[in-house]
Amino acid sequence: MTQTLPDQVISTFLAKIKSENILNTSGTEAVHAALSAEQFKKKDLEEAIQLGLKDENT
Amino acid sequence: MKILELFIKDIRGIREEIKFEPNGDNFAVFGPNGTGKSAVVDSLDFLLTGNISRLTGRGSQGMSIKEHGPHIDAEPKDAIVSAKIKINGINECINLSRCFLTPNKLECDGPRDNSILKEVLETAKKGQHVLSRAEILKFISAEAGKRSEEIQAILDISKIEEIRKAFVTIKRDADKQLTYCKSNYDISVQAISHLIGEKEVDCDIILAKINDRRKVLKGDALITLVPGTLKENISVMIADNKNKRQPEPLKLAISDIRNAIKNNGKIVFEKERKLRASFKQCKSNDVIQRDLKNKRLLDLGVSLIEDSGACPLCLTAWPQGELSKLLSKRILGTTQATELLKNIETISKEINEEVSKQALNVLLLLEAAKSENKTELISTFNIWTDSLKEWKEALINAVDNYSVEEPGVQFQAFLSPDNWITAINEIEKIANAQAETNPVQNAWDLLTSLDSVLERYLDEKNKYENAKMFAEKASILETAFTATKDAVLEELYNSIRSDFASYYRLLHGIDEMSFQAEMKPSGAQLDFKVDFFGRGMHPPRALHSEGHQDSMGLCLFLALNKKICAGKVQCVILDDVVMSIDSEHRRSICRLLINQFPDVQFLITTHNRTWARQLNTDGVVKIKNMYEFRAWNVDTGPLYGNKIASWDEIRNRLEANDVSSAAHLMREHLEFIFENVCSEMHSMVAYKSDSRYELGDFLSGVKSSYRSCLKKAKVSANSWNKQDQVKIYAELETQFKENVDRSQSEQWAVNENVHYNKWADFTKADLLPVIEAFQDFEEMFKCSKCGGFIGITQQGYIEKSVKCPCGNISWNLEVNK
Repeated sequence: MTQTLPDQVISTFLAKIKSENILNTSGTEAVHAALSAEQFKKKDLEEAIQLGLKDENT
Repeated sequence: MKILELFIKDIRGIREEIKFEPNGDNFAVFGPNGTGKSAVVDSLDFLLTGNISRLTGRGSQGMSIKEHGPHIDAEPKDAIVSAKIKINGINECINLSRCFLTPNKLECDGPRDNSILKEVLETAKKGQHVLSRAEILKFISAEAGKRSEEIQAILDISKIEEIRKAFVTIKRDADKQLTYCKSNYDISVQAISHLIGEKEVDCDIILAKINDRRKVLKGDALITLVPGTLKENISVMIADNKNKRQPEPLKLAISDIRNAIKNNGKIVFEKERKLRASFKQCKSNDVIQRDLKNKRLLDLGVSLIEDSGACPLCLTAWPQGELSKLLSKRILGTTQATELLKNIETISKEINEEVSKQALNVLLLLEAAKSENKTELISTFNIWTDSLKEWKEALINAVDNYSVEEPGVQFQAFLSPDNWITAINEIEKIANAQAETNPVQNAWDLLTSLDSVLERYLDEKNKYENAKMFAEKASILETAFTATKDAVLEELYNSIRSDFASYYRLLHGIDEMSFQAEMKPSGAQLDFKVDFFGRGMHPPRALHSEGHQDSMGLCLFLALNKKICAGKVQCVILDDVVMSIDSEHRRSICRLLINQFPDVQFLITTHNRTWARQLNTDGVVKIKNMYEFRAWNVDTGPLYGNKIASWDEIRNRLEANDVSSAAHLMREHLEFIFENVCSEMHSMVAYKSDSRYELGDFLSGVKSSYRSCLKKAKVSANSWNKQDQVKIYAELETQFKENVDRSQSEQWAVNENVHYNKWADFTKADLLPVIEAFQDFEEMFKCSKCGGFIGITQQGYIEKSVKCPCGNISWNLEVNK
């Protein structure tokens, strides 16, 4: 199926945060899940960002 | 997706059944206002989306699909719309059906798991295939923010806006949380700072101070700061002396108080004066007072709106988001009050920070005085502490609590009592005396005191650092998302803008050859500007006429629709959208639809009969797909049976030996066609005040125009030495003469039949040559390629050429001078 505009914005945004290492891997994945959810919830996004701050090496 | 057949039963103004068979071609429904045309649009809207936008948009409170979708006398179970459709890439035809009893359920006999069908149905569900005049106004007349919302709704990017808003809110909340955490962290720093007598505090400084004291107590140096371990492994054991104050905090507090009164007193005094001035301005202006009161009420209202969108006070149901939008708009209106409130909050917060520090320091002096039982000092510092506390409380909710009347001069010395210098000197003596006591006891006491505040310090430090990092990331993410959204939308808007400007130039020809448009996303807004005859870019409704605005709306919709529905939903409904567009530009619209959208099926509704005829004569809608709604009543729905008959239908009627009916249909057909051809060919028709024109009136006009144009075209071709053209025109002249002769010889029959009811004397054999003659005559005016009729094009008052809509027929009328 053709990519919808929201999908296009979300995928470009995710590529940007991945390439610039703004969040850690699991945080980026959680942001992806929050933004792609059928029912978008601000709380999920907030939690994903929080998760993305943690040092994954510790 | 194109519609082959459309069946509507008991929906809105349609009673019983109505069937359209456009077979994938354009079709038009025309007739006076109130004849049920919109019910066709609503039905198709319902079939594709499960919704009727007219019943759910703004101003539709109290309306519901189930209650107001079916015909007033019909049950929801009887109100059904179905269609046979054809989709590119799927061989078989698909039947769709939807009933008002289960509006969310689309019956589909096609392969539902087919990805093409799935995508088509999902695109159709967005409902962006209907353009009405109200929609045009949304694009063109709306404010930038509103337009952005409308276009975002069309582009189905409301989710993006929802995410953007979430990022903005997360960032704002993160900033608030950061302020809160910093304040708690500062308090914990201050507590340690007082204990160790250092203004700057960090873990290394604290550790160094601890290790200094541990050395006095013959203990090893600690490597890390762990609460509860400060006195571990110390050989000297001393009892805690909790009543004794540490000299360092006292000395620091004394120094802070002196510095604050000396250096910050004047600054705080000036701020306090500004604060009072703001209050005076606020309390003396009724409008600001009202706005301020409203703003706070509105802010509270927005935060309390129910999840369902209902009013939190009276529980009235509102469409989702509408009440919030209304209240936000009113909040925006309270700008001056908002600015003032912001100013008051900023100043009071700054003063409060200074007063809080001072209050904490004075409290420390009070506790020292208490531990030494100095009654006079206790009384002095008690009064000072109470005054500062009162000031702080007033500042916390300054808008409600702060007094306008009191003079501000006393605030210059932080409300200090008259004897503050003497009192502080007394405490300084106590601090100095404490420093001279047993250093081992002092070291032990400091470690004891530090142990009690260290855990909080480390905890607040951790929270503050986390909040800082979160706020930083939230800000980066918000900026990144907005930039991504703007970049993607800008690319999209650029392609829409380019199509929009190109369509507009096609509609307006040489008048607007240099027409340009700008579309720029800006935050939550969409700035839209158009060129005004080379005089700069302006908002679309600033200088252009209503007709131009309508054509802009149409072009913008077509450009947007091309982007969204390209190749998927090839069915577009134009619901009475050319009200303000003149006849010449309507012809351009026909050319635009034919040439730019050859693969799109249009359903066009209009109350304007001339536009309806033009749609046919300009080749947009075939005669067999012209549906005329002549009248309507609640019991029967639209009276539409008498649609304009095609030649095949006329011949079929004759074949069935219904001579009178065939003759009647033919006259009606010819009148419908040639009235418009007269207009397009600028034919002379004798004026009748009662407007009761007959076929004969139109025929004599168009014959004369046709001959005259052919003659001019021949002269022109000769002047340009185009002998091939001259030959073609000569042949056309001959052919036309023959057809005219045939039709003239039979014309009496038409009139006899129809107007004087002598049809009873005629047979099939009598009428057939008449039908053939007129069909051939009509073909002379029609393009074999596009099916449109010819018309004269002119520049100013000069007739330039005769053309059909697609340009296949083109007679130059200009002479080479």
